Amino acid sequence: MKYAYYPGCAAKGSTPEADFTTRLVAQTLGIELLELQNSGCCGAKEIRVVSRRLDLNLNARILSLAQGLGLDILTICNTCLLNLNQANNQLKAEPETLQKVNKSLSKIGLSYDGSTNVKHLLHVLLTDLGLDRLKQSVKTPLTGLKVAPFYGCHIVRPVKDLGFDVAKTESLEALVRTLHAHPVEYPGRTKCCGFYVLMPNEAAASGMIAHRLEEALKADADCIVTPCPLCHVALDMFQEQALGKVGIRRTIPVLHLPQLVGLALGISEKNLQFSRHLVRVNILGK
Amino acid sequence: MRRDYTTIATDVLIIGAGAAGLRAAVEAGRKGVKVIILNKASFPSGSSNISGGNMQASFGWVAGDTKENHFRDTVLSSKYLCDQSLVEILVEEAAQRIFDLEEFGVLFSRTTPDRYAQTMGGGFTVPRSVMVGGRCDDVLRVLYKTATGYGARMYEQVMATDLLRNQDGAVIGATAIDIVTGNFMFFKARSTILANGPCGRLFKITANTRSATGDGFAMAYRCGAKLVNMEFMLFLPLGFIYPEFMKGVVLGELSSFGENTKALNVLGERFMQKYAPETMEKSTRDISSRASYLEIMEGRGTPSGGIIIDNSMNNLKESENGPVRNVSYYRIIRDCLGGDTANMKDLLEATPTALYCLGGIKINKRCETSVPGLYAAGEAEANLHGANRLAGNSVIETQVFGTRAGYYAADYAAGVTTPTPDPVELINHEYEQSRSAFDGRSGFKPIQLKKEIQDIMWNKVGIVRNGEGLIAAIRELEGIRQDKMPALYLSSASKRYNYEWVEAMEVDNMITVTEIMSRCALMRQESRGAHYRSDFSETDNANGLYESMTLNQNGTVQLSKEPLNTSKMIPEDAGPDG
Amino acid sequence: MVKEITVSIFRYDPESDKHPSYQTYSVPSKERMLVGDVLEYIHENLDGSLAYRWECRMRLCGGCTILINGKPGLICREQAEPSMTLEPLPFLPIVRDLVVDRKSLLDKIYSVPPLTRQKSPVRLPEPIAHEVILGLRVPRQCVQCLACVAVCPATEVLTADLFLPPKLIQIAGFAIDDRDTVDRVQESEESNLFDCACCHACEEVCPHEINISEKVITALRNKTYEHGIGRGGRYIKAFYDTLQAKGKVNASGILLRSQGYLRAIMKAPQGIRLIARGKFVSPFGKPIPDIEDIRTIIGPTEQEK
Ligand SMILES: Cc1cc2nc3c(=O)[nH]c(=O)nc-3n(C[C@H](O)[C@H](O)[C@H](O)COP(=O)(O)OP(=O)(O)OC[C@H]3O[C@@H](n4cnc5c(N)ncnc54)[C@H](O)[C@@H]3O)c2cc1C
Ligand code: SF4
Ligand code: SF4
Ligand code: FES
Repeated sequence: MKYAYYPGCAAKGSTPEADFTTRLVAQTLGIELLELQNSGCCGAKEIRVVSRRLDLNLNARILSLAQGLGLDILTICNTCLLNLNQANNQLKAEPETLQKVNKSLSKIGLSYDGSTNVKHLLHVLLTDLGLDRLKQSVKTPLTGLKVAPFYGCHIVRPVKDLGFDVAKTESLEALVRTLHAHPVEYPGRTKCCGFYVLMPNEAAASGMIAHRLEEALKADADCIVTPCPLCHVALDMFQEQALGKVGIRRTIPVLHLPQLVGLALGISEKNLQFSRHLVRVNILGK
Repeated sequence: MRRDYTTIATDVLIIGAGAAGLRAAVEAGRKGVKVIILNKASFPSGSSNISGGNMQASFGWVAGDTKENHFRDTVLSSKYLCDQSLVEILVEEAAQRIFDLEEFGVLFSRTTPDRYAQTMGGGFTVPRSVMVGGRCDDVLRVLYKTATGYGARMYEQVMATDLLRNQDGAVIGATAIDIVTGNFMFFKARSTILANGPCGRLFKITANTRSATGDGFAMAYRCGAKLVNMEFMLFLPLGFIYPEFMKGVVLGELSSFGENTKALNVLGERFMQKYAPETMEKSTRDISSRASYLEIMEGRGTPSGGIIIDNSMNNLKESENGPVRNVSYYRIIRDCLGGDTANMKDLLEATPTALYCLGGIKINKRCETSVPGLYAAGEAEANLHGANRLAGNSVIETQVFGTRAGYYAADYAAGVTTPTPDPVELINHEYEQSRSAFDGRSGFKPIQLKKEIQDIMWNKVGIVRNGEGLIAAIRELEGIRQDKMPALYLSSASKRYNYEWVEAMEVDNMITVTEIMSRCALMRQESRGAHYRSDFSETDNANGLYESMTLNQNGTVQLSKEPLNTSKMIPEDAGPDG
Repeated sequence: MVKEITVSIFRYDPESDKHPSYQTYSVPSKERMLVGDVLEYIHENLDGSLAYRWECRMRLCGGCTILINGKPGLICREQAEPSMTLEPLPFLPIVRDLVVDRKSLLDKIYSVPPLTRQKSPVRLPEPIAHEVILGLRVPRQCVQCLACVAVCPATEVLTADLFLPPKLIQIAGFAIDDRDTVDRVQESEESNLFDCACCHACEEVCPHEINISEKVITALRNKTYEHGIGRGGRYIKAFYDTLQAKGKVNASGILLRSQGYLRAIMKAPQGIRLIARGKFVSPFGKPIPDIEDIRTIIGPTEQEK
């Protein structure tokens, strides 16, 4: 198993622990990651506003870099996953668009042929590695740990762009069970963390964050796990502020997917870099 | 003592917010009078909202597209039973009304940037129907915005219950019930337009919406307006058969699936061979409806009571609002066949379904009814279509006659200068009447009677009729009126959104209209267009060329045969086709 | 044996009930049953007092939306499930049982001015290409069923007064029409266009499968950006500038560019904590090594809609 690894901007900036633990977990599980050096941004939800074409150019560049390596992309960010997939689908469906985009790429010595596949770490663990093999690698079963699986939006919707319904198939729940932890049922699992409103309207975002945290707290979860660094930014960095505004004093730790997996694989707390979180991770020993 | 009701005064009162009512509101609003629109359902609603939105108009862009041809096609399709003075107006004003809609903001499909796409239909000499991507709901929203822009005000989920008249016999508005709160209201108006659309709900299987119970026909009849050609009801061959909830919703026309569509009975026979060997699946709506109805009635239908559409030779595709195949119909069919995993080539089952009421309230060119102060527009009015209607002639009818109704009703309103006091007695009476349903304690629920009526109509006054059946139907309907209606009861005493209560009032209207329909059908001893009598299966030009007229004579239905307006085209001209 | 559907339904008459309650019914199950079939069965056979609304049966009136197992859906579209809880749409006053009063929201949606031209068209039909019409029709497929409103996280926190997806959809229907002269940018700003969280939840429940994020939100934001005004327009510009400068994005850079130094400094306390945890990315950091490549492919010359 070898992938072109594309961590995305957030994991390279605000949540370096996500990048770090992904590498550790991959190594432990025998997944080889070849980082796409210098890959730059996927354009998030913003560049397409400037022009759809720019968004396509950015994503086509990333896809073609992976194509050069002959590898599928593994990303750890929901938005990158959706953007790369949307661009990929469009470029495959519209030869004319692909041609135009390739004209741009040719200026930097690249071209894309539509052959790259894009996967999220979650998909790789589920299907390429398989939960059975993951189970065999568990060293520290997380027995008794109540985890609120928080999917984040862009790995769930729109299903037709992503090609796989992770939420309906309860894949995050299955993964949590594989680690011997207990996935709690709660209404927030596929709702929005509010990340994309943080910039334009922090107060509104704060409200969304508070709702999601409250839902997890109500379900009596010990922690939240998310496959998306952007959700992590919202739910962890802004947690104190968001809960403070609605007068809640309890907190709930938010783990990156690789951190939870790493925990069960027996990776040390120090290496999981919980110390980088703003909300104290106090789940050990539970 | 005055009962607890609210009076709201206006110049023009419009009953029904379909395409006709809203177009009338625009026109009356433009003339600066105060306009109020009542709508029984929540907006948008009615046939206009679910219609395919095909509208016929002659623009003269293709060879042979003349107003004369539109006129001729319409009259031929009516089997000479239409009022030709109305057809003349239709063909004359249709194009301008389309342009109006475009000005208001409707997006008509194009072939080239300055030409509308025009499609063909059964009975057209040239392609003539313009469309809005196969849907019509946006037309309603555009009209609504335009009408409110001119100051019209809509009260939705308010059901008109009756028209009131003053001593001179002129209509002075309507009583109504706010379905949401249960409040009783009197809308006092200088002139009133009935635009409450079709009555498909008189039949067990219909494409019409929930509110289409023919209230307008009953109200008009009760207040003394003449109804014309009420025996004519148009059926469509293909409606959904399941899910049950959607039974009767239009599935399409055989031709709309593609060239190679086959209609089969349960034995796998292409039954059209028996009924129309030359035209087969491409036969007109009345012939194919009749064929499938007979197959089903004679026991060759599927267990769910339908015929089979074999569509496997066609390639149905989801085309994003392509001018012909409409994407929302596609999706409904897809979901019916199993959603995302649907095989669009699977067999579909279908049933004929009641679509359109060809008869209606008799109007003249100014949309005046036979009662002063009362106007009618759209499907409520007649007689534009005679015994059969061309596809695409009805939405345009709402525009042409809606505009006229709004214009003349506003004129009339401006001429009414004497203030009318509330006719408290009458209103009190209506109030009591509407609440009487709450007095019953046991007996029949309104929905039971509704279903009984719908079964009678479907089986005996439906696509194939005969004298015996019609007489039985009249007797059975009479029985419901006399024995069962007084024993109505409601499950809840709540006045808030109590749809059983609404249904109780509807049943009353339904009984009135079904009786009229059955009697007119019995009177017409011939077959013509949508009216088919198995005991008189031939068209009888010697005796059948009349408008059947219904009038309320002190509470009893009085029928008469009135001469037709054949000002331009007389049957003898028609050649062999006549 | 006949299989049964067990359905628990929200009951409430604000005039006579102190509290809402749930009532359970058993309905014989059939093949291809819609939620509407279940309700009709109850109405006809079990309980005529249950209030629910429908009109068109074909997803076009938008009046029949309720919550089905917590998810908004049309009773004329959604398949019945063996076990269901049916509730009225949230956010709206309850008329009775499953019927809500939609008026307040519909008034807001319909308050969007219609297509307004500078002057009446000189020539009819107005010259427009059919492809353009197809595009314009997308937002106009909205039937105001309010399903999207019930799942929108922005509406949930801001209330429908401040954020209402179908209103933005109405605006989009006219904003992308070149004939229109109303200031739709202003209108979208006032309707808080940039508070959409890009979560795609609305699309998932839309009965007409409208691609709201692309055809409405992104399309309107594009208009705003091109106007270069308002907080939204400034924010997009800042993002774009950051990307051109660094090849990647980080919050501090965007904040600095879109809101100025003052706001950025006011955020300092949090910034210090972020630095301590190694999470702060300096806005003055170095660009990615291949920055020239990025600049080349996202330069103004590459823009094209
Ligand atoms: C599925 C379908 C497809 C069709 N396709 C086409 C087509 O492509 N081309 C064409 O020309 N024709 C078509 N028709 C016919 C055409 O759509 C209708 O004849 C036309 O829209 C009728 O418009 P209207 O305004 O008269 O009535 P409607 O649109 O039915 O409006 C009547 C309104 O009155 C209200 N109402 C009823 N009773 C009361 C009351 N008591 N108080 C207050 N309000 C009341 C109803 O709620 C309703 O909203 C189609 C019909 C159907 C059913
Ligand atoms: S994408 Fe935007 S409008 Fe749609 S539900 Fe999410 S926040 Fe609301
Ligand atoms: S956008 Fe879709 S879900 Fe939202 S109101 Fe319109 S039709 Fe309903
Ligand atoms: S009944 Fe009209 S949308 Fe469902």
